[in-house]
Amino acid sequence: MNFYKMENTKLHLLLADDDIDDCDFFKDAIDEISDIGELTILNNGVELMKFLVSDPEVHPNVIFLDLNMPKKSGMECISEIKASHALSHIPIIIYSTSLDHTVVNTLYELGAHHYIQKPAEFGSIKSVIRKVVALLGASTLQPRSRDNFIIQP
Amino acid sequence: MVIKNKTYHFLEGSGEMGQLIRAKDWSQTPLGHPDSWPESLQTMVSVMLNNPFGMYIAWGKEYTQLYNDGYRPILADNKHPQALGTGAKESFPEIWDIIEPMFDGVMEGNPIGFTDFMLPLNRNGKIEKCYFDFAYSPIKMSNGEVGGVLVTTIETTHKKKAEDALRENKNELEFVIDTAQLGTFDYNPATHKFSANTRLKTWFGLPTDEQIELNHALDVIVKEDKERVLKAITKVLKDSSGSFDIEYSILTSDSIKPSVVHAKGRAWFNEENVAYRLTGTLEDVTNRVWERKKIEESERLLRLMILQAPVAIAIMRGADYRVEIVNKLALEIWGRTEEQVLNKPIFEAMPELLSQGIKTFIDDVAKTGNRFSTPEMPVEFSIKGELQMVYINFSFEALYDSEGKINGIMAIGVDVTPQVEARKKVEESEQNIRALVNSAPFPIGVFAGEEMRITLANQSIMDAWGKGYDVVGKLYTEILPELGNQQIFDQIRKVLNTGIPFHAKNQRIEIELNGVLDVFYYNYNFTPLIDASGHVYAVMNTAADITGLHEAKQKVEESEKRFRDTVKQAPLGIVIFRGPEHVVEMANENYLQLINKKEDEFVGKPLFETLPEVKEVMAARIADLYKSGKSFYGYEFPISLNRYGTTETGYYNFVYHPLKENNTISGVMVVATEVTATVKAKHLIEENEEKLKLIIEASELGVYDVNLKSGKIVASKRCYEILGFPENTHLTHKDIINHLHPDDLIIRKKAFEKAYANGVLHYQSRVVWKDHSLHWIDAKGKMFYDEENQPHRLLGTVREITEERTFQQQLLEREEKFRLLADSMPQHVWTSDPEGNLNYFNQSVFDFSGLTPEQVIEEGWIQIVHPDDWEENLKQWTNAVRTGNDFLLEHRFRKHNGEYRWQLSRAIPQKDAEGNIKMWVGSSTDIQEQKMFTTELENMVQLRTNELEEKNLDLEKINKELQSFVYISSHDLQEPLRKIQTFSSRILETEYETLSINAKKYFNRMQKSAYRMQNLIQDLIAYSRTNVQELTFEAVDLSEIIEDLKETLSEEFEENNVTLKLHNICTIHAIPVQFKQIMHNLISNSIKFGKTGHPVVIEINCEKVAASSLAIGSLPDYQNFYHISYSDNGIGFEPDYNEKIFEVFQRLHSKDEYSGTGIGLAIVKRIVENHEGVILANGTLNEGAKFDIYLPAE
Repeated sequence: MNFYKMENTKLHLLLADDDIDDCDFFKDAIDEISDIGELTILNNGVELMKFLVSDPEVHPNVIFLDLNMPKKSGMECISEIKASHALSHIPIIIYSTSLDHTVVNTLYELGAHHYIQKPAEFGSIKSVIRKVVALLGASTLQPRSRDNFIIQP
Repeated sequence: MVIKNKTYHFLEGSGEMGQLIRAKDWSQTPLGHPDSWPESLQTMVSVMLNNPFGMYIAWGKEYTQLYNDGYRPILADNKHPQALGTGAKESFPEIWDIIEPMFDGVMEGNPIGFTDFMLPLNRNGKIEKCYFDFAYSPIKMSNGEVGGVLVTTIETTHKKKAEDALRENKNELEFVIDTAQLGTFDYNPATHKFSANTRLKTWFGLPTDEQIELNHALDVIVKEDKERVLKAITKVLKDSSGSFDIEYSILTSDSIKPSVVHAKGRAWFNEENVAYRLTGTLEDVTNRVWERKKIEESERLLRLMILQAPVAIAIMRGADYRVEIVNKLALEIWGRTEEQVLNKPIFEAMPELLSQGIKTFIDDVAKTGNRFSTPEMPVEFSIKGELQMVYINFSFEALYDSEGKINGIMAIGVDVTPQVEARKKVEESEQNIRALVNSAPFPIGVFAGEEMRITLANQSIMDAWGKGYDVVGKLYTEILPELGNQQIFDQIRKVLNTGIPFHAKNQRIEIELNGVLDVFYYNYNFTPLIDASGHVYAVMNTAADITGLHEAKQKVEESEKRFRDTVKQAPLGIVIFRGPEHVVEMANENYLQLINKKEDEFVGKPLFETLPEVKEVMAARIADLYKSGKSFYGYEFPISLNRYGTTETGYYNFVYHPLKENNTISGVMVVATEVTATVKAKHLIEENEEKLKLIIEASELGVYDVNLKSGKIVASKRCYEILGFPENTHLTHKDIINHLHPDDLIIRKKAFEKAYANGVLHYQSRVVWKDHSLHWIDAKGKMFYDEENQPHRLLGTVREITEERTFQQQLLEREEKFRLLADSMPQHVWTSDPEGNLNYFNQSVFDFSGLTPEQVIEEGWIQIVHPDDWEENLKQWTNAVRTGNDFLLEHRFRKHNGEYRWQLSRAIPQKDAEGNIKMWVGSSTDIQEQKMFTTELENMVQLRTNELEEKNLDLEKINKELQSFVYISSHDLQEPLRKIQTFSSRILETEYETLSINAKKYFNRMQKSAYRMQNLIQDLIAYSRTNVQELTFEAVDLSEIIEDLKETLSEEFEENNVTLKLHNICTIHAIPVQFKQIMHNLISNSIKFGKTGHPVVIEINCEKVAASSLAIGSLPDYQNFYHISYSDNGIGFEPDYNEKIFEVFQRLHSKDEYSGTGIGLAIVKRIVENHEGVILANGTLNEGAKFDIYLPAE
């Protein structure tokens, strides 16, 4: 059964990032935006994959995925998730420091839904999360498109 | 006094000119002391002195001269060294009028250059034509003015002379082609110019000394061929694989008959596959074509002859007897049309023949070659679906090809159906007559031959004989032996012998009946029966019982009629006339035909009344005959007769024979036959013999006839002429022998010995004429032998062959000359037979290899070749001999000292007119030096290539490292910075109130620093990215880019009140992202450096300009450029910084005055350079900045 229905149930967000500071910023931002839902934080790719396969019933609504992680990079994770029949439906939003066009294009090809460059202003972190929640809250998730692939704060 | 110049670095340089320039007292020249020389002159002098090529500077108005060692030889000793430091006009008075305008032009900024420019230079007091490649370029001074002329030059006199020599070589080649009886041509399709050698031009009737338009040359081609030739030319110029090979006729205005020429050639194509040349040869093949036409004509005549022959003829070919030719008569017999049978197997076209055995006959003829013929063969042909019987006399003949093999069958036939049918009717009616005779009421019998065999006996005669009825086929003498002593047998034999019928009336005949002799009285006749050849073959006996007188009389009359008929049937003309008037009593059909008269015109009338034209000749002779009683014979006697409407002379054999009655001549019988055709044929033969004689006399042949026993010679006049006795006509054999060249007597003697043995005489020898000149003769003869088989007569011809022999002699001499020539050549020359066996080597081969001719022939030439090259050499040579292609090979030959040297060998097949290879002529040239040089060069190039490849690999590695560095920078440098900003924004949000005023200030500055660092990192990344080669050039609309930027920078535009003025905006060729970056950076700068309180005004203009109109030194090699000019009204900058502002981190203002990282313009410059463009900055302090961007338009 699915605990997280889109309309009136709280969301389950998942952040995979090895940077403790960034995790804290993200968590603070979620906390400050009232009543979004549950946040799971994992600190590397291996942990993320373990989490996703351990309980097939409990899947997050969305994964925020950092690229530079020890043990297993974000790039490896997205390839594995999109290759798995059970997991490929989960939307993935890249959450990274850099914004290299070649890398951005590669990720779009790999199946990422959106790309967010980690904002410098704390306020901006909140605003990008709000935008993502708004996109997920819509009746159906919009299909991917290159035009609005990058979410600006 | 010489003032030594102090050391200037720009005067450093080796060589004579370096020393001379350093030593020169320049203060005495318009240039002044080197201290005061403009910087550009200093630089150029320094460049010049260090340059190995000829360089020369003419500086200032006076064109004061400086030059280097490379230039110095041009001046020679009469101009050098005075020229240094003096004006050009002084040094070059003889050509000043040529070069002054050029120098002046250069001073106005127009460089100029020439190749192979001729200058009549005075060198060592002598005017010499010298050729130079020149470049005159302006030397600009820092103020942009031209300070002087730089001349760089290479003397090309030697090259030019070599070219001239080459042209001379070409002329020699043309001479060779000319002697080869070939016309050559060379056509340039681009200019339509057509050049040819003299021979071809003579053939075409063209002027000999100029190039002409192709059309002019084509005018000579006859109308029917012109289009075909044009098409062939067009085709070969389009298709690089095709060749030009065509025969056509030409008719020049001053020739009567067209000549046929055979043109061969090929087109030459450049890299774009466009033909630029068509060259080839032309051969006069008129005679050959004429011969061919003659053969074709004779074949056509033969065919026509067959088709029009009066007998049916058909020719069949192949195993299935395909009908090749069939004439109209044959078609009529076959009952077929030409379409039904032509080119079809005959038994397929006429299947009805298969069952009639015809195929067996043809097969036999085709197999054995034996002629098959048959008369009156009944053959059934299917005519319109019905079988019809046709009788044919026909034959099959085998036809042979030139090698004697049977290659066809000729069927010849005559339709004899009407004749056969007529004969059959005759046979039928004969049977009827036989039946009639048999049942006749009076006795009739026929006795054939001397033996008098009874071939016919009717009922009546057998009744009369009373010897039974089995008599036919038996002898008359056996059946009726009792008649033997009653003169009957003699009478019959006489009739047989003379052909004169015998009549007897009231004759008593005794016949033995039942052993008793009974007496009968008969009137009877013995009549000769004459066959078609006029021969009496039998005697017919008719008889009548005397009791029936009336009946008997009738029989007599009948008999007489039979005689007359017989006479009339005779093949000779017979006429009988009697009396003094020679009244014609009787004339047979043949005679009437002879004189072309009808019976009623002639019989019963006096002879000379009907034939008055013979009276003159014959009247006297007939009168003689009456007098003498002797027959008169005429043999081939000419008589003129009026026949068939004309008077013509015919020839006749005849006998005028007196007819006697009671010993008096009462009339004349004439038996005549016409022999006109025979006589005429005889005359013709005589005439022909006469003609032959004339021909022999007219020909160059002398004819002789020697009686070997008497030594008497009968010879034609020409014979005596050839032998050198134009005056004499009668000579003995000995006379002739005395005139023979003494050395050749033995030849003649041997020839005669041979002739006595085999009957044929042939020898060639010299005769000495009276004027002591030598003449070659060719004598031929045939011996004739008498009954004792002794030669008694020699018949033959003599021909003068002096000219032929001279030609042969010349040929030998020429060959000797070639050998001498070949032997004196330094190259190795050799020849080979068509099979590839080398049969001649020139002296050079032996000198080089140290081998003797015997060694080369016995042990093979291959021993000269390096063993490592054997395989390839033999392979190539075999291949060349097999295909007939040129042989070309580089291989090594062993020198007599054991050293191997590289040779370039080449052999070309020599072909006869039919294209068959007659021999190969080859040459080998020593290319050791070239080969070694080439090898070394190749090694060096390889070495350099390897070095370059290594460098390239290094560069790629460095590039990759740089890329990863950029990535790491963009990620890892940004991360801590971003966190500083986030933390600070957290503090500002949550802890701001608790901060002291100072802390707030510091905090603000910390944030600004972080912000600036972020920008710096981003710009650095952008700058490094522009290095990456993204070669996706597109058409970029400048106005679209600017619209896009307006949107991106909309806030800034509003804040700073920015106005963009776009003038002429065009579409350019650029990498869109990069070009956008340029405009972004420029506009950002304009906003950033706007004057405080002033609205920002930016003006952009774009236009396409020709490169030649731009005076920018470093512009790359493109024809057209887009010139984008960008200007603003901001604070601008001082012109001194025009170049500096493009350097990385170059800032003209403090960070606090104006924000920015100092990378923006560096990026702009780098992008422009990525586009192979140029950007120039032009600032004016406080008035604004101006940028000119030039991007290639292609």
